[in-house]
Amino acid sequence: MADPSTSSRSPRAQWRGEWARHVRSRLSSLGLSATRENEIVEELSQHLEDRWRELVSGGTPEDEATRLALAEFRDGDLLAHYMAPLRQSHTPAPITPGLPAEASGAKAGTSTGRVGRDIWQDVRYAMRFLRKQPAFTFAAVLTLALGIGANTAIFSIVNAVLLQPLSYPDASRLFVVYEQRAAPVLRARFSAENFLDVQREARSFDALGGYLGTGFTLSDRGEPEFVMGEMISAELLDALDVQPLMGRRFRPDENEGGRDQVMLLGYALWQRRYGGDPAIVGRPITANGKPYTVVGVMPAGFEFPQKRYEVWVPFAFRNNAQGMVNRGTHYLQVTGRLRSGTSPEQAQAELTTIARRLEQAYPDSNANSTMGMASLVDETVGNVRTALLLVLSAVGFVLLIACANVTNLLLALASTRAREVAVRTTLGASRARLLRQMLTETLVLYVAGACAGVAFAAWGLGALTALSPGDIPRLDQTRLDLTTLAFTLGITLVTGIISGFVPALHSTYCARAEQLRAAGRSATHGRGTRRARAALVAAEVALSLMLMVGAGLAARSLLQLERVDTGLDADGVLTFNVIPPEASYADGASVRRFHRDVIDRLSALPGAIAVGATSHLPLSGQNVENRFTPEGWTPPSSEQAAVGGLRGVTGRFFEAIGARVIAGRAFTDADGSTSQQVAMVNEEFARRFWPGQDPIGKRLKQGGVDSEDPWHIVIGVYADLKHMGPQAATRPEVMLPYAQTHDYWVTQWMRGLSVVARAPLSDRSIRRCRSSSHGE
Amino acid sequence: MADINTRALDRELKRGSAELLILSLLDARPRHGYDLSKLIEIRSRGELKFHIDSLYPLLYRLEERGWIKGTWVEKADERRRRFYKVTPEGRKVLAQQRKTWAAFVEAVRRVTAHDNG
Repeated sequence: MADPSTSSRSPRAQWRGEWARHVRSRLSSLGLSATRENEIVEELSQHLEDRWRELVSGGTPEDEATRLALAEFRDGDLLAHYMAPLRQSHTPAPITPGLPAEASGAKAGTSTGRVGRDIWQDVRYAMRFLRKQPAFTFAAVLTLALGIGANTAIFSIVNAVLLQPLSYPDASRLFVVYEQRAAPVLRARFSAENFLDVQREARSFDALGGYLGTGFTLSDRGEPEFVMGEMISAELLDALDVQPLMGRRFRPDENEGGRDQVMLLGYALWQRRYGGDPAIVGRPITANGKPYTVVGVMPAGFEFPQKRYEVWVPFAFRNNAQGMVNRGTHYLQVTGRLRSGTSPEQAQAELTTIARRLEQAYPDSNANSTMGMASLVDETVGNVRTALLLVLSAVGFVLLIACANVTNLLLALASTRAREVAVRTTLGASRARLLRQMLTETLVLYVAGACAGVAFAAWGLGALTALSPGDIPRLDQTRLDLTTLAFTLGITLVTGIISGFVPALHSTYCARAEQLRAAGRSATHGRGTRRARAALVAAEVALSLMLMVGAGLAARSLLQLERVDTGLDADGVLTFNVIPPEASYADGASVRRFHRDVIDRLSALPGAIAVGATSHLPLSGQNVENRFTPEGWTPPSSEQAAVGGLRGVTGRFFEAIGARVIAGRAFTDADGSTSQQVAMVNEEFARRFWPGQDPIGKRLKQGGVDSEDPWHIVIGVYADLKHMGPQAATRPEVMLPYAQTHDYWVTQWMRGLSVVARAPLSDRSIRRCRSSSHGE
Repeated sequence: MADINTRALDRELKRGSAELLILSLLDARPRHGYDLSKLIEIRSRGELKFHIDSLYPLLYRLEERGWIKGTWVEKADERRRRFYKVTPEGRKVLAQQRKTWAAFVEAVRRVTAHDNG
């Protein structure tokens, strides 16, 4: 302390200043508010002054009195130590990180309570520490937010699409049943009669329901609306175990022609078109020009077989006016509920037995045919499972890279904190306690990253759902629910602990090295740091490389898909479906006239370049196959037949869709019902059945050699059009002029056509055309 | 004062019996910190001594609990001092602590008397 006599200030005033300095230095670690600290400094300085005066007045020399007064402060930092637990006038309690709880002045309590307090203390210290490192914290939280957010978003999709059970009771017992050609294995739909036999004979299922998709034009009120619907057997809803929200299910007797004009509405349709009318049950509705009676409304969320289906009507298995119930035409999809206690293997064995019996009983239609089954959930989400799991793995890698980055940052920070940690160690902090404190810091960082990540995921999910092409089942059910948040918490804690452990461990090594250095001994922690960080960088590079390779492959696949020659030019092409109602257009001639009229009207619109229509739009996945007899082709074995897709086209279809005619010519209006029967084949058909020959002028007919169908002369060959999707293999295909297509096909399978228009047509002009067509 | 006594007092501080000393001295009239430390030293004839670094944290702790209340008092020609007085709640605590202490001393006396007898 300075000699007071040398000062020009009042000697006592200067002494008081010195007392204050001594007191203040002992309070500095407490982080008191300025007011509170000043009060304490004043009070304690007064105390020291009183003691000094007393000693001096008792004859003690001033210097000795000063030394004795300051001896009131004992060794160490006892003042701060005793002050620490106090609340100190609204000032947050100071934290002495790394010290045992007792030494930090924590009140005694149960061990659980103490641990809880310690953890809370660690968390608060961590938050303060991170606030003091804004650049580091920002970089780390942002990195983690991206990693955790991407994982949260993708997991929530995986959870909704793959992990959640289907919304039917005991959905694991639901199976899709199908017919199957034995060699080569080719899955097929059921024919109605085969289905009825299986339904009657199979004991492994509580219920088996068949269904067939179709379209309905509702024209009972307001503007006509086209909706997708299913013709179903009454047992389907028994199999799914779903009750209508209002009304009743179909009765088995309604699967009969004449009694089948009853309808179940989907919830969304009921709300949208009928305003949620509570008296809808029993009301008549006009669909496809025929009167139906609404017998019920299905509950919200009932989406069978997919979301876009909004109407269900009974399929007429008996007295089918169109003669659709036979053994040779395969169009029914079948879903059944496995009987409780029956294994899928037992059910499969029974299906095989039934198929064998049918094969023997009906060799003409059922030769070489068996049956198979697959779980409904696999059928529903099987297509996207691999893709989603791949994406989940990719974002998993992103998270690992983010973690490696943050760990690297933490390691860099750890090296700068060696002295701080050394001081704590000197003060008595155990290594375990220091590790816990540092792990807490990392976890606080990760939790902050997770919070930002969840916000990022919420935003990202909206974008992902909006960008989805709409063919991912159940994507609309994606939520940031408790399962997702539990997943996020899980990955946050696991990655946080892993990521924080190495830097924490490293810090304590650094601290030890720092102590050794202070003691004059050498330490080698620098090498350790370098090695740890180098390992992390190597891991990061490896992970990034894998991710880049994966992303590169995905991008290449995407590019290849883009480059796939689909055989058409879809730019500037509009397309929509038109189905003339059966009631107004019963026979083939009227259906053909209807479509002719639609195409003529659209072609007359200003700007229309070319308008045509097809029964099966390319790339749509719609398909119907038939047996053909190509003239001059000899099957390699008696069991093999020429099978190919059959399409009816009309108008300037080839020009409208941009398909290429590579030999011969396309159909024209001259190819009418009374002119020469003509056909066009795709390259694959020509290649397979007339290899090395000119297909132009060859003849083909539908059915086998003995078929009574007329011969069609091939007048053109067109470049293969991808029907089932860009990746699907091309199959042989035959196109017939719609005008020359058999009435059976026109009324049953090609009633609705996909109109294709190459033109800048507006929605309004199309609607006007549609309304006037309906008006007729 | 012997070092061992200082440590003993520290232990007492932790256990809380030192609170009894402070509350007793303030029960009579308000006093400031230095006054309290002198009184304890004098009345205990030098056996007990509070250091500045344990006395004031104790006073603040008692204040936080609401048993005593400190007030800055200014007098002419003197620097202001912080005086502490016992609150009604502190008085209740004091009564209870006195009773407990008396019972404790009596119990110890009985035990040690028995040993000696």
